[in-house]
Amino acid sequence: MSASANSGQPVYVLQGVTKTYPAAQALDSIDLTISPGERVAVLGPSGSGKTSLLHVMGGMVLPDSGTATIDGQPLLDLSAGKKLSGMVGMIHQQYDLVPHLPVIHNVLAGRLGRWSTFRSLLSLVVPQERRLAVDALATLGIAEKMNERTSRLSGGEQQRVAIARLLVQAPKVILADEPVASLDPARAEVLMDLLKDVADRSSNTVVASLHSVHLTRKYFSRAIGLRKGRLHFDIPVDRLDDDLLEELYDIEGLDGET
Amino acid sequence: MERPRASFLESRRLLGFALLAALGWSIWQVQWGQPIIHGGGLGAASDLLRGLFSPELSPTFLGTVLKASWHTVAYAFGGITLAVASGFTLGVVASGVLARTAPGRWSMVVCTRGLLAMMRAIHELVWAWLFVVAIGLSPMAAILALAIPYSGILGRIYAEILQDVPEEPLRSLRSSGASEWQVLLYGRLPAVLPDMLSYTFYRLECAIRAAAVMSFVGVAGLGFQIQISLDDLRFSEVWTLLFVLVGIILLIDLWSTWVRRSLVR
Repeated sequence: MSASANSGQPVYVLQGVTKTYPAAQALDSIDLTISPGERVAVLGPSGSGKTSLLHVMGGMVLPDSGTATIDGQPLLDLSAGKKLSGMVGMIHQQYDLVPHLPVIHNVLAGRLGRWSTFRSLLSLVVPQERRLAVDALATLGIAEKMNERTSRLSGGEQQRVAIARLLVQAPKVILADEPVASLDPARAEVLMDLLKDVADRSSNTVVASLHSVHLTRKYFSRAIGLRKGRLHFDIPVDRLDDDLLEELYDIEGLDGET
Repeated sequence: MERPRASFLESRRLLGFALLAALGWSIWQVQWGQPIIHGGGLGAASDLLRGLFSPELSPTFLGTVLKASWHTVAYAFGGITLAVASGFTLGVVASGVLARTAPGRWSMVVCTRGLLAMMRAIHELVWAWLFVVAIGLSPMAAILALAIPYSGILGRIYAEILQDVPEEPLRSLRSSGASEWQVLLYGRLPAVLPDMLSYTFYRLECAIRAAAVMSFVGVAGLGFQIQISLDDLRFSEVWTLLFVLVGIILLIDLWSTWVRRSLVR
């Protein structure tokens, strides 16, 4: 395990986290500790439980058994409330913005966890905390798109809007579920650079699921391998070698046992 | 594979025979001895047709038409405004999207859906009848008679549209800390607004038609004038009134297209 830059308590502690869906076992007693500021890549073949793990960490899915804490507090207590959004921000594979809204509201949606219902309604008429959105969009180089309908933006611009939302949300942890899955290698690196900048700015902890070993080596400090819902390896990236990966992605053994 | 297919064909054939038999029976039941149009009908029909090419355009009559149109349009707008307000409120509840728990959602949906069904089960003309009996021949009777069944219709459609929004953007909003109310404001409503608006405009058209027909219970408006002119066999006036009615509907259609386009842009 790589040494954490910040001392103090870990961000995440998962113990025996298990999640079963009717069709398959998604997570099988996962033990995991993540320290503040760590950059963790989650690798593994499709269906190995990467998304389930991120969803548990993001409080979107409750584990069947085991415990998961963030900053020492059980995720179970936070997942229903708004507190969690101040700690964890998620970026999704398809960015999942609201296509009909102007860009500024999609960015300011990152504040919804802190706003009352009335203030959110008001913001659709008179944008609240406008400065935050303006700064975030300027940081990502798309300030001029602020009042455009989000659906009119290119895929790359929409990514930036999604990251701007994350900036405005200002969580301690960024979870990214296959953020580069639909991108060509060059665009993937642009996105990873943007994410890294954003994360470095406030020394965020990042946990991302990926398929690219190259990106893992370039942007991450620690690699976790998942296979059939189990932790296959958990190592610093410099110890990631071809044998381990071949083992992880070996299709032969996958079909047989499930 | 062969057997169910054969029985399917057989049942179709059976249905075909039953329908043919019904058709034959109904043709046999028609009493062919009587003429289809009654004696004086042919003359009246040709008068009616002639009126089509010479609609009444005298200033006094046009004044009456304008006033009647104003009544009809005012009732329709009054009714639809109330219907949008209550239909939207009930529709949001009936969609169950604000509920946190499954039992909560279930009770919300079942109760409001039942209420909406009761409101629209009774036709606006019947409501008009009831209200005229209850509160007399006032504009309020016409407006309420429209508002109640139309809230039932709008509420039900709004509820269905609200449920039918792609889940991913909503999930993403929730992960940014949005409550279900905020998800409604930022995710669902922006997505469904164009559809909701164009359906509402369509219902406004229907409300104008319905308001015109309210004359059957004695409420003023285009329908009332049509009835008076028909009773006096002044067909040219009837056509003027009908043209105005069509004109109003076309105007609303144009307006709806314009609003929708500016919203989608």
